[in-house]
Amino acid sequence: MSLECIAQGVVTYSSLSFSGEGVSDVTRPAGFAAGVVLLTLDVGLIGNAGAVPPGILSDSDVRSMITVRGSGVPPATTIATKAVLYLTDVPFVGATQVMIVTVDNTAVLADPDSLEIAIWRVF
Amino acid sequence: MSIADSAPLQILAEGFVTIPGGPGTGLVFEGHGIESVARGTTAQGSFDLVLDRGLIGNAGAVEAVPQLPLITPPDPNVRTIVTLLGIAPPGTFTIAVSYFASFLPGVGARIVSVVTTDISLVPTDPAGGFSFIVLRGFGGGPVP
Repeated sequence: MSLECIAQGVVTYSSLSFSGEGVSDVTRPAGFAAGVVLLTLDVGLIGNAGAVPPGILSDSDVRSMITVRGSGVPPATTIATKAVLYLTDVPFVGATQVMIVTVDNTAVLADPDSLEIAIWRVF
Repeated sequence: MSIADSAPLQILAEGFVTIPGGPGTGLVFEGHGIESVARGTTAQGSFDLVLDRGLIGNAGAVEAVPQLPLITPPDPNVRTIVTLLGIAPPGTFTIAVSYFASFLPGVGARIVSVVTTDISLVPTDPAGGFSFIVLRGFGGGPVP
């Protein structure tokens, strides 16, 4: 078994920006004021050629970790739940986008200040 | 780190922190890359993990946040995974990480801060403690 990291970086919500590797764009999908962002994987990345299957994972060969960066004293967060979904927009091509959903301690969609993400492909 | 990785990561530190005497009592660390673990600013729920001297993270690899006058670091290149250890149903927790600067100029963060709160946002120790992995990212930069 081996893992290959295909993307990793930090999403900063105040500027809705990404800093890292393997992601070419970060946007907020229409209809969501907070708590949902969409990362677009780099063109040519392994994940764009079927390595990352879309939707509910019947062939779950991708793993993502998300950790919220804290703020304040002590540097904590209100985010209690984090989720990922792998989306596709091209037939016969794997997921080209990764949706990140964050929910606060009151079960409401909410933005953290920033979060770290790493995405691995499993072989 | 594998040379085949298209977005390489290198492990700087890993291990787990437990609280054998129960929440609010002494901390025990087992793993690599950390020389000590201490309570942060609260009696429960804040943990300061001090990186080993000589570790790559002590030479600027783990940048501090905030890094004035910058609001955000120019190359936020460290990623940390924190997972609660469940000796019993842990309840709902928030988990956050931060990186505290060294007072020495030109040296990156020496302390990785982990803060856990309960659902009311009160800093609270997870009864089973937690495991963590600190990863250094390479390459990339701001997008777009």
